[in-house]
Amino acid sequence: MRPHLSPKRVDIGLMKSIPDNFQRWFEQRGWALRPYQKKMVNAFRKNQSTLLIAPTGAGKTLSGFLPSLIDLAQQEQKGLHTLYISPLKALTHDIHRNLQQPIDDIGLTITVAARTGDTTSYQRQKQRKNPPNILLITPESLMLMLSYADAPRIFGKVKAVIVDEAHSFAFTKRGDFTALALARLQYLSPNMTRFGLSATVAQPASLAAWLGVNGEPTDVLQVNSRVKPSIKILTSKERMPFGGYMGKYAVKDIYLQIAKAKTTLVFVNTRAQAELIFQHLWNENSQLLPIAIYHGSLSKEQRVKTENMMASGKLRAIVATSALELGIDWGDVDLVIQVGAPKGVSRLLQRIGRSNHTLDEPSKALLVPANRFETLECQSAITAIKRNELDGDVPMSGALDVLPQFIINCLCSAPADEEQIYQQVIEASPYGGLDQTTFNQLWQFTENGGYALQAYERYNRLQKREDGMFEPASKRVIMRHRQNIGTIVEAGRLKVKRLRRSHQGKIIGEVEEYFAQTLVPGDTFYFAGEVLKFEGIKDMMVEAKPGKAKEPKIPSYTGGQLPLSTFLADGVRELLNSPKEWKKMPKQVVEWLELQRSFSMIPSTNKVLIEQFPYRKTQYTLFYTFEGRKANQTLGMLATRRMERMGLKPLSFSITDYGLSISSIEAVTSAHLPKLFNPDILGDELEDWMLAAPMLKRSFRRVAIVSGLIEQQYHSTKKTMKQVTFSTDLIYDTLREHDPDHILLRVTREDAERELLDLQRLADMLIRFDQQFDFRVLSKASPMAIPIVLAVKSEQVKGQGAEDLLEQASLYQEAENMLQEVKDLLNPNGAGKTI
Amino acid sequence: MISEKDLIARLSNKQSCIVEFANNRFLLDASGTLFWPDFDLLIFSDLHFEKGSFLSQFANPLPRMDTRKTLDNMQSVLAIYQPKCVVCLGDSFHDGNAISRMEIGDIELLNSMVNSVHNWQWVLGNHDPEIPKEIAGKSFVSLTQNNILLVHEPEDLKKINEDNKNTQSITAQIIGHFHPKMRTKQSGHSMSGKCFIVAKDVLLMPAFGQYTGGLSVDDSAIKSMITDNPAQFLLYGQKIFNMR
Repeated sequence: MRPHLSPKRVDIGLMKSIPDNFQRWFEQRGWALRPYQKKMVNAFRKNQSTLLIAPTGAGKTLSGFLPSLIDLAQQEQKGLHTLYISPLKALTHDIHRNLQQPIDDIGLTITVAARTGDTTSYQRQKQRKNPPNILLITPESLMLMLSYADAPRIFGKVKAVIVDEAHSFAFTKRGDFTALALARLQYLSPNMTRFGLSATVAQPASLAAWLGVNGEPTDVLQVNSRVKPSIKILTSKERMPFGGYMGKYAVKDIYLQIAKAKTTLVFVNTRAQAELIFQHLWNENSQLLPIAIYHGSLSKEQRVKTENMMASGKLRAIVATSALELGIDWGDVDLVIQVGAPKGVSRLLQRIGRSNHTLDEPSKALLVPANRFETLECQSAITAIKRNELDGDVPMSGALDVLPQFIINCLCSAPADEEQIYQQVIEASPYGGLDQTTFNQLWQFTENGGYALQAYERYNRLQKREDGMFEPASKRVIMRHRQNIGTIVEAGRLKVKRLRRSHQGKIIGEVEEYFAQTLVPGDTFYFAGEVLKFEGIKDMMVEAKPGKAKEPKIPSYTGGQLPLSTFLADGVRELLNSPKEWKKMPKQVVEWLELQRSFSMIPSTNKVLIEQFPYRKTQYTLFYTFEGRKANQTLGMLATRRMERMGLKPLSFSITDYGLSISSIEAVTSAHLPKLFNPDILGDELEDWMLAAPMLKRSFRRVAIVSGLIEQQYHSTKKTMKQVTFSTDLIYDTLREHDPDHILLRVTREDAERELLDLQRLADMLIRFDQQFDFRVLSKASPMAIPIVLAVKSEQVKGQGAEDLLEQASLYQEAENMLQEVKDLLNPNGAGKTI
Repeated sequence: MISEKDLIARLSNKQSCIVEFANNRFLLDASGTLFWPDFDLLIFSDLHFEKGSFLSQFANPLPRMDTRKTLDNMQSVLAIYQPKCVVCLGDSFHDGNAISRMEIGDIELLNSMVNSVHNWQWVLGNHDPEIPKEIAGKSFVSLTQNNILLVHEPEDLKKINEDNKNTQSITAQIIGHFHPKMRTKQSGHSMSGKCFIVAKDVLLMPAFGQYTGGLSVDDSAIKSMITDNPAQFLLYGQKIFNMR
């Protein structure tokens, strides 16, 4: 929290709204109270909930706390006065540090404490017994505190709640979860004022509605940035690859930029990329510049160490993932380098905002596309920022799987009946439209599983008391609930222990279980910025020693993928069709586009380009739709189904924002296309196919964990994801067969629509481009196809194609040759023997 | 016993395959069962009845339909092979109280199934040290047929042979318990599923029960048991594939 250093005179007229000691503090620091900060103080006095939208460096966080600090200074109070909710643990620690300063400087007796998953149980007890005036908390920890019987005492007098970085999670499942927590808080403390702090967003009104009670938008205070950032694409003399997502080719140039700047933040898109770029930067590091690495899989100690070094100005650069994207104040960063495509305009702005933390000077940023296609995306993003166009999440109705969790959470704190909880739920904006029937079904599920066939009272999670109120059926239900609060379903992880000798060593972070399983003793991999040699897995820990290797593996993190913005895809299509604009991009990229034009063609605006070519022993079909990831995902599901029916034996598909690539055993020909790329693939069997698809099973796994059907954590031993995955797939199949109307199947379908599918956009496209396509049969992958074909994750299709592959690989006798053997089998010597 | 015509159809559809194990011939079936034609014997392993309701007791509101589903699946396999004898190779019931949670209809269905077969034998496992008295059929710690031991968890064959010098020596065993599962990659496409493992002196059966997890064939618990390079038969879709 660094209020802006203003060269302007202190405006005495505005200062009247704050007490003298605060005024002096501002003056001592040479700061001006900004108009919106004054407005926040007044909003609090009028109990007017408000959303403050301001660019980074505007003193946003202080604006949020100022009303509370003043109120607490003017009348000393016991107990909790203000709750600060942050999506990031690291943020609460940073805020704590910075909030303590004015309190100490002014000499206030305000108590502040942070509470996250990392808080010790001693501290937690203390906080509950004797709550601080200001509590800094994550949504999950807040929900946990709300589940205790003393919640009304602790939260009953809360006057203000501040939701920081609201834009970053409001329209996600975690946002739904937070909205419910806010509704419960408001129920406990009806006069609470809500403040939201946000970076610039595309639609302030929707965010204000999310923050408000009952969908009633709060006031919006918008502060605009005076200067636009200066963003360029880094030009490298090295050869830029056609495919791949790492950006390794540009490491030399990145290093030169770091050496020129004071402090640089190097943002990458995945943790694997962070490890790789970090390692290669150190290979280049002839000047031995202090360069560090930061991502979510490193241990807390490692991260805190890096944070502190950065805060005290000891580092010249950090290679970081989105874990560093939000609000943390890094002091004197003067350059941000984005390696890999920015994936969204708002995200790019957020990252760029990390540099030059003041309002009046432009932030400086360099974009390093990892492949030639990404250059198009980078250029489109730069254009969008120039034109002030933002992308953003769209509000959706609240996720239903969060509700069983919320119901139990409320009942853990105090007994209640269905109607009371329903009233609180519909106060939360995302759930304003929730109908009573759906809620009742979810209540039934919470109570006893809600299955059509069975109802054994002894397995009920809730029990009805004589007064008609419900409470958890046992201590176990309560304990299990508290250990599983949250909406973040993570891939199974194993801790990494760096061995010094025998089994002694330090935990330095986590890798995904899936990756750990691919390692055999002796394998080497990059982790926490060094090369480690894998020794084995012991007590759910990966044990490894420092080692050396030419080509170590890189841990992959499935959760590390950034979701793509659909917005940029349109920009890319536009750019492709404006050759005049091409010259803004590096020469290599223009050459690549020209190569594409002569080898295949540039996708036009009025037709969809479809390419077909053999690759890696199978056949590939590429659809350049430019309709965004979700629509492409849906098209992938439907097109592979149609291909399966046509006997083309599809194997898998992968998607990007721009297109869809399907691999199959048989080649798609122009004769197939009219039936394949046709609006009628959205036909009647859609529902059934969708429910059977592996992706829906993944949705079901998330839904099953969040709704409490199965647990992620129990008795503080994390159930490994492998076990969870296995059982949820089977549960899903069982439910579909024996209880097809079960509420969780509906919830799964809705979850998939939120996260994966975009039927509307796909339908629009299929109708718009009905039979309007350019089909090219090629001898190999086109220049433009390479990055899509190489896309990291692909969806497998379970069907004839996969069986064919297995058949090719398996050892089989021909049926005719087996005849004699069968006869022998069925008429053995001494046939009819029994045991 | 399955008819010749049905068996040929099943073999050519890759729903079943012939394997030679310890000088005996078997049919590995895509359903995860093992058929031994010499004795007209069908083997199921690790049925884990009432696992769903067992987990429900720990506040997991799981759908408790797994027993019915497992029984349905057993019935379809029995209809195909029509065996004279059935062996369930242990862990048929998930826990000692499973029977008290089992629905009456399911108990009746199971008993009628058991009674429709000439000789139904339960081999005991670590989850079911005894078979509930409400259930028909005889129970055994292990069974021996020819030179092969049928048992839930692997036994030390050397020791058994030393203890029983008079009888035919046992050279191999068919076991359950491990729920083997494998993953394979073909042309960059990864496929996984339950599997049979057929080694020189041990044959590991996949778990048949609806809510049964799996242990990777690469796990040290499985690897330590096998000395040679075993054949692995992957169950995928409705088919079985020899992936050696």
